[in-house]
Amino acid sequence: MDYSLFIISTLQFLALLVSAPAVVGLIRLLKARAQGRRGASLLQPYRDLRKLWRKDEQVSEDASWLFRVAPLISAASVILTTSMLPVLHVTVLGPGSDMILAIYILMLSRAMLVLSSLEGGSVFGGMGGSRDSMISVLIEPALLLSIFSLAALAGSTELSSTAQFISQGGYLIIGPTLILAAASFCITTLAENARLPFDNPATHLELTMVHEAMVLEYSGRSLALMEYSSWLKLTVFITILVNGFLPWGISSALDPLSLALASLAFIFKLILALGLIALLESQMAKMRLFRLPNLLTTSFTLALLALMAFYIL
Amino acid sequence: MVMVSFLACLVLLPLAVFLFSLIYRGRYVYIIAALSASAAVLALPAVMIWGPGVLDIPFGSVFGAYSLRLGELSAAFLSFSALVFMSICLHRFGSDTDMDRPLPVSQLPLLMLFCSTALMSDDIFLLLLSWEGLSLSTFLLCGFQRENGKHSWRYFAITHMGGLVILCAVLFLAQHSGSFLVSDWNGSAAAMGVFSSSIIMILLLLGFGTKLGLIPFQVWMPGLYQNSPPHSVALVSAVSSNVAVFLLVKLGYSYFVASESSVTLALVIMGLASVSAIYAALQALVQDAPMRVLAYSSMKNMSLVVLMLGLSMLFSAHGATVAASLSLLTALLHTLYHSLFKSLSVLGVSDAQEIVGSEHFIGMGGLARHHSLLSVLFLIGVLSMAALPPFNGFVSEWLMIQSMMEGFALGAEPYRMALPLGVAVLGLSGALGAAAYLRLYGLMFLGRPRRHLEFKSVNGSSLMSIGVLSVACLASGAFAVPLISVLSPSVTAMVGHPTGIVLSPPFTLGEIDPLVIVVALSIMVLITAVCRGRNKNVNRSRTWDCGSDLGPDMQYSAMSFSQPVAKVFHTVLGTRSGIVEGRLFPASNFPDHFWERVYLPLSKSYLDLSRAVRRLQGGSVQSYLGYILAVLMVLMVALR
Repeated sequence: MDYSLFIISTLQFLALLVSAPAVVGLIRLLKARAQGRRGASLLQPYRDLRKLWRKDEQVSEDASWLFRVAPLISAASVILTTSMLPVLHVTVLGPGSDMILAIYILMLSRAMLVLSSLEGGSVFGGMGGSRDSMISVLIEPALLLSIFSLAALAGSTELSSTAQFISQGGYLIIGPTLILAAASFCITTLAENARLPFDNPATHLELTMVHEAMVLEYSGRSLALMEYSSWLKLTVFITILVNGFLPWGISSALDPLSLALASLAFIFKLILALGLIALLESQMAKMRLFRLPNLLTTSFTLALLALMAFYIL
Repeated sequence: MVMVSFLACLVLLPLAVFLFSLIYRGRYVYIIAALSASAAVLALPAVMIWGPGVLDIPFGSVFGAYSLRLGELSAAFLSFSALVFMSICLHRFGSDTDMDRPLPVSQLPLLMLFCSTALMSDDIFLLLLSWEGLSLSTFLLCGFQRENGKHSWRYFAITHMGGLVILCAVLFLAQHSGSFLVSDWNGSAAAMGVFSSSIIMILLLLGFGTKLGLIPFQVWMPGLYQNSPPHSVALVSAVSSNVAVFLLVKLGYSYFVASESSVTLALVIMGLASVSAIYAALQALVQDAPMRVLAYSSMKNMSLVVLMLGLSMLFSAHGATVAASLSLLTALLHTLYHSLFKSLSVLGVSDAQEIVGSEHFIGMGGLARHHSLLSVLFLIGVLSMAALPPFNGFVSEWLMIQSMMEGFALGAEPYRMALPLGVAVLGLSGALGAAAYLRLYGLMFLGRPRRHLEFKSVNGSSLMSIGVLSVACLASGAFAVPLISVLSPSVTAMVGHPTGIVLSPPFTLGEIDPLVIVVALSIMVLITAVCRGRNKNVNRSRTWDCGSDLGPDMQYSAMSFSQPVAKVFHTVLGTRSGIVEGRLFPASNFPDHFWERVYLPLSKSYLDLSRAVRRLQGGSVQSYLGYILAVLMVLMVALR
């Protein structure tokens, strides 16, 4: 690998790792403002992490070795996925940028979460794991289909080549396929990351929680890892959304100007996406659990329509 | 010359062990059987070094001399099956303490013998003989006398029906092509015509589908898996599925040349396989016993294999040979991988059942605290089954998705729109399956024990065999690229275009090297672990219980875990009813629609028919003379 390419891909990887808490902080801040509150500072998630890092850890008497290993594997797999994303430049640090691989590595992280939710023998954990399994069963086909439509459009499942192809493809590439697939992916992003209307990240009310229920038994550094990996996962999904489906601005050259433009474009798109999430979350209530299949089927149908549009048009 | 003696060795060794086991019936037979299979494990390296081998046995049947042929593909299947067989024997050696369920020992080497000859045979008589032998010896191993007799007989009846269908198909092919050697059949379908070649393909699929448990032949699986000795289950689900898929591919592809008109057939196969896969994955998620989950998991995986075979037919009908080879290769690879992770899971479940003394989830839980090694090894099997990286199940599932996406190669055909649905099928059955296997692991190994019990220890050689299989699960996935490059020449030759297309990653759409993923993931885990550091302030405390003491049953149970999915798919699953005798919980199995709506009415009408026929048998000589007279009259009128 070229020396400067290595540096830029490392830098963008590290930048994503560092900014993940800020991404969540920004959503919370924007949401508070939209609801007329002042909201906590952008840095609050960093402070939370530092606080958790210093605390003692409580492990249930019923838990086994898996309880303390699961956060490691979960965080490691999300970090590995992060290394596979093109952010500013189309090169990546990790083992390729195959999106199917990325989805499956994220599934590993989710699997660890479900397993750890059954540790400790708490009813809350089991409930979270069970509900999360239901949601993931309904998400998976839609997620694969929206990636499929992107791959159909660009002729590759690699995010790097997809981003390059679409950003250089001119305005003709903006068609029903891309728009429908992006819409489907938006719904999936909300569902995968336990955001409203699927799950309320701000409550600890047993009737509503999914993700929070799964990590209920965690504390200290393990909780910090769990929280961090869920924030990083949100960042990963938003990066795939803005760099896979709307990749305009991403740089395939190495000169400082295009890199600067790429970072501006990325930050702009990121803030736009976060603003949308914040707006949505302040306008919408959580859905009843058994109404979720309807919304997820909508996402599936959108992705299927995207592919139909690709084949017909 | 080396290969001739090697092939002879492959046949003679199991035969010798079989004869020996007739005299000596101690438990060391398992060790000797395992050792005799070690030659077969070396089949793949041997073929890679010395090239394919042919052995013509000097005596034969009326159909000509017996002939054995070992190529790359059959060697790969033989090696994987033998490895699985060895581990199962080793495990059985370790756990042969309970004498309530003795295995008919001498069946084991016989099964290995039939497996080798079925994989290697080139003439149809030996092939049919070994296939029948395999069915019979697995049936005997599953036991047919005790409480499980019902399920074994179900298995016996359904697979023999399948064997009959296979016999018809194979004899027709032999008669048509004028040769009893499978290797002479190349492309005889062209002369046969589309209609009859499609009929043959359907017959073959029906025949082998009985063994693979495709819809609607799965009815024997859950009961047999739950009630038979676990080692026999492992052999049925790993070794005989391997042989079934291999023979299906060998017979199917040795004559079938796909043409434009076989598109419909391919699409029908894909549709049925998809339904079968989703149904199986859904059932796996709601079962109440670990072995039943594994039964439906086998069904799901084999349906995916058949889905890939159908896809391969679709591609080759359209002339997209690279895509066709890729799908065929994926099907074969998934079969091989399945045999590893499935036998690992079956053996792991068998150990867990032994420890807990229960076959249902109701009595399980909390094994991971006392059996950490077993729980780590079993987790590897579960993650491979759930197709999660970096294990082997993921590699073949990734290849499946990639082959589906090769649909762009089809050009402007209208049916290519079916392929996105294929990806959706893979996604849905994959996610359902993953949830089912995580539930399996969580209910058995995590949480609090649901019943007070004295934990027994697991035997060393059992653990070792499980360890070997879990290393194989990791390694066969990590070294998928070399394995693919060994297999791809013979796979591409099978598709019918041996023009030097060799498949190797990168495929047209994506590129991964599983080895890199294994390394990258372990590095990441290591870094995270170092970052977290040795946290000295870890305290053990009680699970948060809202103020009331948590009892063993106050945690999520098998049925409560799958309730949300069961509710969403209520129309498919139906309603469960009844109460398990003597237990607090309602009966947890959903009705088996196929048994109740298809098989029971069929057998009832058959019984009614035979009751009606029985009236004819009055027993008096006069009436029999009357029948003869009537038949004679009819014949004289009809034939004149």
